[in-house]
Amino acid sequence: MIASSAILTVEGVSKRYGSLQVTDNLSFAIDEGEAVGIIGPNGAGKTTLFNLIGGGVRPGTGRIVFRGQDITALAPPDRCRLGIGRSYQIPHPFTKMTVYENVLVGATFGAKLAAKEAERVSLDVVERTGLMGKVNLKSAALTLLDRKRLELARALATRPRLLLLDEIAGGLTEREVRALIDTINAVRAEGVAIIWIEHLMHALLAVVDRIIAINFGAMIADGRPAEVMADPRVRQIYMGVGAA
Amino acid sequence: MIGWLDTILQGLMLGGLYALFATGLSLTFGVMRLVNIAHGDLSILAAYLALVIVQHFGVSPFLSLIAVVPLMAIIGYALQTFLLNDTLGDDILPPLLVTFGLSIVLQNGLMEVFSADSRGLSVGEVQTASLPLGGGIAVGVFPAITLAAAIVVLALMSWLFNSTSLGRALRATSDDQSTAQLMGIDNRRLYAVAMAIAMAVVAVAGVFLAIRTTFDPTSGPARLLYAFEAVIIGGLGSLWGTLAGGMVLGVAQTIGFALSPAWGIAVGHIAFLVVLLIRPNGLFPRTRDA
Repeated sequence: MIASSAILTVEGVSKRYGSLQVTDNLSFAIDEGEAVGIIGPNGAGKTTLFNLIGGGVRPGTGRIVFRGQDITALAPPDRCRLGIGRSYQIPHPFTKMTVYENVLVGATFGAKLAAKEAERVSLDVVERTGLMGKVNLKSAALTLLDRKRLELARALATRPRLLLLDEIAGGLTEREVRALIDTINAVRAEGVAIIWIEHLMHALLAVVDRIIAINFGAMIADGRPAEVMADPRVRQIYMGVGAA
Repeated sequence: MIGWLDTILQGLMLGGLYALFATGLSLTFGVMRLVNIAHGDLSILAAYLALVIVQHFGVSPFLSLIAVVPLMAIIGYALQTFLLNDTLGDDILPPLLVTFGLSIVLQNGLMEVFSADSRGLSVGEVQTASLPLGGGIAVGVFPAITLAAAIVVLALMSWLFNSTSLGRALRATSDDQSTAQLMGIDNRRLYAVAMAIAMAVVAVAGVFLAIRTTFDPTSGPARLLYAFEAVIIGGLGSLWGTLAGGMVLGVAQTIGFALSPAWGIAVGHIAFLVVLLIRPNGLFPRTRDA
């Protein structure tokens, strides 16, 4: 696989659990620095797709190439160190550690930084994600917004080239969503590619320049946001219109 | 009155030894949810390693620790890498069965090599020397050294956990293994390091045990039992709680022995049951000063 401008290539990836096909022959490529939204109804296989890219789940068939390297067989920590960062839909902070320590783990092990540099990067990330006021709080004490910020901060501390965001705006107030969008756009401006699973369309549209729609694990549309939202199959799923 | 005070002091110092046994068990359970049934037998293996070194080189058992501690750490690292990592998963039964088997292999292997004779390690006068504290109370020098060693080991562990990046990796993995992996932590290697640390500590425990009392190839399981009791009395996940747990067990046993030699061990178990009844989560549950 000769790397074109693609940072990530998913080639014919399928995954089934028993008779349930959760990912059905998916193929797409993400360019360096591109921001792509993923939409689809609940149970469409969006989070499984992230697990396949992050390494938590191995595909049944197909392969995944990251920056020219076949990573299909690599374990999650190796993929993280190569530059794939991930935030969970339901925040998974290390609850007994402080905000700072949470982020420091990512900088030390994910980005493989030496002590001093890891500390500097961690504080920088904490600042950018708006957590500086809570830097020494145990993460168990954080509100939902701050937990989502911490998910993002930790993923950023691993110095990703590709950032996977799983419904990071869900459950937040409108003002909180706007603050988050600013942070994500700033990350993108640094050249980090982003794949974002999100139900909040206006949040997604404020960041991404391409949308992939999936249903029952298979791709049903891929293109510019306006085109994808105009697609009859997408409209049927989202608005229930044009039902066959 | 003085007799009782003396008994309690002895028990507290015995608690130091139990804490040494319990710390490694608590560490491997905390980090990788591995209940190591062979934990006690591995401490006896360390005691035999010390015995071989003492006999060959004629050094003091204390000095033998310089070799036994790193040797046991290497054994622990290898054990985790080549055997135990493959038993870990969603099911907790495989590691239990494999370490149970390992326990049997170790006991029989030691029996084969060293016979069933009881052995002991001697540190000369230190063994029987005592330190008068005034008021008619005296403490044994060796038990005091044991307690001091336990405190030093626990302080080192506490520093390791709270102030180093390895400690943060251990805490992160203990909290949420799959997220820790997404942060770039190689859990299999980390588990091997955790087992190496646990075995280094259990090496100290084994050698101190061998100085305190005699041992034979079947001495391991009782050590495992006391270690479990100390961990559970102290509360899972608390380092200093483990010391407190060891002390509760030690004091209960020495009081039992003072009442009647036949009752020592039983009173320890009774104290364990009483703590379980009153505080099922232990005395210091999840305080996480560790």
